[in-house]
Amino acid sequence: MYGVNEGVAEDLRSGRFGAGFSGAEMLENSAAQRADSPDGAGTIGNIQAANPYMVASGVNVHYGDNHAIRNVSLEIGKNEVIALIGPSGCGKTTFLRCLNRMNDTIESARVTGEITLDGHEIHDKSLDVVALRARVGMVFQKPNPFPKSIYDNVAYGPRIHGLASTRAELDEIVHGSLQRAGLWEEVKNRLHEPGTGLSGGQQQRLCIARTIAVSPEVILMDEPCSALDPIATARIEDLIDELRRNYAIVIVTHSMQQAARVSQRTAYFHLGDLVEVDATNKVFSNPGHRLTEDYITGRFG
Amino acid sequence: MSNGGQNPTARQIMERGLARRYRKERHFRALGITASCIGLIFLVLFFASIVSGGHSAFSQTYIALDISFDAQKISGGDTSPEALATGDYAGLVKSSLYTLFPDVKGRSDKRKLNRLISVGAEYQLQDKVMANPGLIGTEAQVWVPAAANVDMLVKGNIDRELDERSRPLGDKEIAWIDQLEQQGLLDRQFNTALFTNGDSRDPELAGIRGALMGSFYMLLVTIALAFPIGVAAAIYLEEFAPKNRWTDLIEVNINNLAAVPSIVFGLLGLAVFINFVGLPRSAPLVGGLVLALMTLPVIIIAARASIKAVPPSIREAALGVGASQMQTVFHHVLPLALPGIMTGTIIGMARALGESAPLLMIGMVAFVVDIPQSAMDPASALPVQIFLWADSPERAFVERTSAAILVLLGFLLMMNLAAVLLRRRFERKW
Repeated sequence: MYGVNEGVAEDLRSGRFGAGFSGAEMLENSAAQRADSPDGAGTIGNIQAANPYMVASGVNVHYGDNHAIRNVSLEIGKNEVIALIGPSGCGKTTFLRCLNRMNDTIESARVTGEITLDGHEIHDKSLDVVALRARVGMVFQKPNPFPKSIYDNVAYGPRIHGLASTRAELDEIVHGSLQRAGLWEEVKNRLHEPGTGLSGGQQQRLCIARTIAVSPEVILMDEPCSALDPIATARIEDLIDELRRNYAIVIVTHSMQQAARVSQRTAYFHLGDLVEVDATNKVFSNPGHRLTEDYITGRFG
Repeated sequence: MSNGGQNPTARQIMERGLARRYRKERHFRALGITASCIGLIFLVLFFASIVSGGHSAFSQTYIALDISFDAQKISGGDTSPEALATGDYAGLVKSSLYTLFPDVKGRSDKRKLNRLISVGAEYQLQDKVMANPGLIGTEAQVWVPAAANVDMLVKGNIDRELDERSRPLGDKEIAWIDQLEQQGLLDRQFNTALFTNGDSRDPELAGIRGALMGSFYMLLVTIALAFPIGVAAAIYLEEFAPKNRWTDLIEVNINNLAAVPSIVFGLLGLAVFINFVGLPRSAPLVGGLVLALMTLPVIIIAARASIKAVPPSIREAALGVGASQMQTVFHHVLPLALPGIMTGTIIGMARALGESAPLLMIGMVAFVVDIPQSAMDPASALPVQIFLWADSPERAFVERTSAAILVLLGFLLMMNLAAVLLRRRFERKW
């Protein structure tokens, strides 16, 4: 329904998701891989988390006739960061958007399979999508603060969910969220200036503060540092490490260094298949699949 | 390129083409400047002709008369309000004139003399007395409007050199007018009647107040209907409606509706609102309904465009923190789209204000003297008033037509200015 989503869907539909590929051999390889394992059983490594909080099993996403991700099963654990890596168009963002049902906004998208949050199926009628998105927060690729004051940006979520009954409580939530997002010291004297006036890195931390202001259980991050410089990126990465104590975090990233730095587990996606999942140091030091190895060693991607 | 010695290199080929490219650019610029200049010239000509034709209508010739408010003459001595309301004030004017020109004798000459003063003078005196009965028995100098022909002569619109038979004022009358002018009893003052009176058969008494009020009530009805319905339709189509064949069909129809000639909307209004629903003819309510129908597609298209221009990232941000779709639209999308929507609406309203064709079909072309007090009273509208006056044979209506056009243009300019200012004020950058 919306431009960007449509753009994503368009990319996927037109089959551009092989972008970044170099060798024809690689394509053949993946085709063979897929033929061998039509049900996604080809995922190697260990999909299980130590302390699973969200569990996806057999998730398929179709955009119209296009099978964007196939049979992905993955557990997301509490107090850990899981990084989703893979070449452009491999389905990692699509999978991420399944977790808080953001794919609902794309008309042609069809999601099948099971995804549970704390044991409850998220597509179940008993779990409202608005409530789900409050529990599973999302930080986007491009910092997207509302064109309102810094205070109102953070206060918006608590306001619509009725989390604060008094002004003082709301102030406390805003203060706490900005503090945890590591932005408080920089903005405490300008809370009522527009959030769009901050620098890119500050804007992204503001978006993180906005997300944690509604006390989510899981935070989804879609390439949160791709528009930031290395210093701002380092600050966000420190922040992610901090946040891990309280939240389950899923981060999509194109930077393998970033995945190695911030995550405990890494999942490698390839052309809609979840190829390999394992502890991050295992994936980067001793990948189990040739595609994973080629990707992390920079043979393509 | 490898045998560079004989064949021109890519750089040489490029450089040869460069001159031609620049020449083309120069030609295009010259063409653009010419086009803009032609447009400007026509605009200047248009304004010059209207202003030069219309500015004189903002003043009007008045004649000072010494009036003795004699109760005997007015109502035979009766000073009760009823008697004063029906009294003979024309007599006061006449006797004052006869004292001013004691030499004028004979019925025909006296009639000519009386015709120098507008029939509005007696009503002016009556209003004065009704407002202040204490005037009875006193004498006062009163400035009363001169007749349209006197006004035209003073403004130089009647050629004194012409043969007497082919001009509206005879030699005698011109002599009287000159005499008045020499005595300082004739003066050009601001034409308040133009702004306070309704339409009239007498040019010196005709004003645009009735038409202005008609246009005002009409636009009130139009904006009250077209804005909420248009914005609601745009929001639904853009944010909620599924994209399928039906919504495509609706979209095509809305776009087509914007291109339907306005007179067709007038016919529709005649058939539906007047003949079927039974609403009164000539009423601003019906005019407003018709103009609302006409403006609706313009507003819907403008609103959809500005809703579409709100970055999708804002919607995702709102949905991402758990706002419902309704909250996303009303908290974030609509406030950001509103400046664009308002600009579109104002431009649509400006078009509605200048529209006359559909109003002809629903009877708003009538000659209405009374100033409408509500949207149900018969009224005309500013562009229709211009049309009516342009059709009148009297010389004095020519300048009033231009003056009415100036007023209409003034309102249109104000509305467009408001649109520009709104856009400047609320424009957001990401």
